[in-house]
Amino acid sequence: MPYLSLLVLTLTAAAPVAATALPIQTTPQMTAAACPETICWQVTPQVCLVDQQQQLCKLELSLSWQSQQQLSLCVYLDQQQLSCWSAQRQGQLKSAVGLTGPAILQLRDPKQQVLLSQQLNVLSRQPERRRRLVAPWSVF
Amino acid sequence: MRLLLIFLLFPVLALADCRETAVANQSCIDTDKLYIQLGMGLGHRSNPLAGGRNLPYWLLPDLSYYSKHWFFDNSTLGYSFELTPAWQLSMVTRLNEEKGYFQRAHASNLLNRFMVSNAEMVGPNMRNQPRLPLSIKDVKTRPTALDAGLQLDWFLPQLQLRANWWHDVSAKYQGQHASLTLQKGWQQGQAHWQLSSALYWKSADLMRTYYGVDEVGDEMSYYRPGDSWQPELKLMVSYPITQQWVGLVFYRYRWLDNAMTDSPLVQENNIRGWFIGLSYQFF
Repeated sequence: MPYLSLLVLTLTAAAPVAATALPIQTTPQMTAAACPETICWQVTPQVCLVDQQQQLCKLELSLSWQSQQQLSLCVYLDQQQLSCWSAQRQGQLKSAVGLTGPAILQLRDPKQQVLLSQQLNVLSRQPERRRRLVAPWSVF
Repeated sequence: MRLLLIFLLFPVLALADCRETAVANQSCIDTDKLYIQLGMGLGHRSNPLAGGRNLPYWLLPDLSYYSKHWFFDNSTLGYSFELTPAWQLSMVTRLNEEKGYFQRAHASNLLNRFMVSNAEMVGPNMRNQPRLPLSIKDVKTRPTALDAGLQLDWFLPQLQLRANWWHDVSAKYQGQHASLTLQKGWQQGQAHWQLSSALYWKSADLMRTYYGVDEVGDEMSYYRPGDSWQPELKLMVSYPITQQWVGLVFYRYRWLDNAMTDSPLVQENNIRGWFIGLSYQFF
C-alpha cells in the first residue's frame, strides 16, 4: 500500500500545470480516519504563475489539516501567522495572500516546533534577463 | 589632464538592474537566447601602423548569447558571478587584438573576415606619400595570443563602470593589459545615446612584442617601450525604425601615447573608428 501511495504521488507530481494558480496537492485527499501520520494536510495551490519577473502574485490559499489526536497549532506563511486552532482534530483555512517570491508555509505547535512544512513557489512567464557585459558593436 | 577630464564626466547614481524599466531596454537581454544583429552601411577603423590598411566596416556583426552564468559576446567568452544585483565579477577570455592592426584577415577580426572588402583601403597618410623606410611588411609576423583575465562590472541607472585585466595565457608576449571604462546611456525621444570613456593600459612586454623592431637592426634600437596609456572616447546613437531595423551611428577616437608613437612602425598618434548605417536583428 505505501508503494501504491508513492506511485500515486509520483503521477500526481508529474501532471502538467497550465493555470495562473496551480492546484497541485502534495497528498491524496484524506479524511482524519485515513491519515496515516500523526498529522496530515492539503495545501492548494503550491505554484503561482505571473507574467513578469517580480510581479506580485495574488492567490487564494486553501489549507486543511487532519490529526488522529487533538492538537493546538498555528499556520505560518514565512514568519506571518495566518490562523490558529486549539485542541482540534482538524482545521480549514482560506486566505488571500500575495507572493513576490518563494515562501514557506508551516504548521507549528505552541512551542514553535515545525510539524509540517511546504514551499510555495512563484514562476514567471518572462525569461530571466541579464546585462550585457561587452559593449555592442565592439568587434572593432 | 586629458585623462582626468575624461573620467570626471560622469556622476554617480543609485543602484539598478534588469528589473528596472529605465535600463532594461538598452543593455539587458534575455538569457538562453541567441542574438544576431548585422550592421550595414559605411565606416572604417583607421590603422596607425605604417603599411597598415584601414579596416572598412560595410557589414558589422553583433553576436551574443548569455545563459545564467556563461556568456559569449562579440568574441569574448566568460563566466559570471553575481556579487550583488549591481556588481558582477566574470572570468573572461578572448584573442588579443593587437595583431589585428598587422593584418586584416586575422582571427581577432574573425567576425569581419568574410565581410571586409577586398578593395585596397590605404590609410590617409599613405595615399600621397612615398614608401616609408619601415612598415609592418618589414618585420616578422606578430604572434596570435590568447588573453584571459577578470572583469568587474558595476551597474548604475544609465551608467556602467567596467574594469578589465588581461593576461597572456598563451605566453606569446608574456605581458598584461587592462582597461577602465565608463559608459553612460540616455534616451532622447526615440533615440538612445551612449557615451563611453575608457583608459587602456598595456604593459611594456606587450608593447615590445608587437611594436618593437629589434629584429630590424641597431639603427632602430632607440625604441625601448615602457607601459602605454591610451584614453578613448566613443559616442553612439541608435534610432529604432521597426522592431528589427535600427538606425546606427557611432564614432570612436583613441589617443596613442609616446610609448606607442615612438615605435618606427607607428605613423599616426590616434585610432579613429566610425560607422553610419542600419542594423537588422535576426533573432
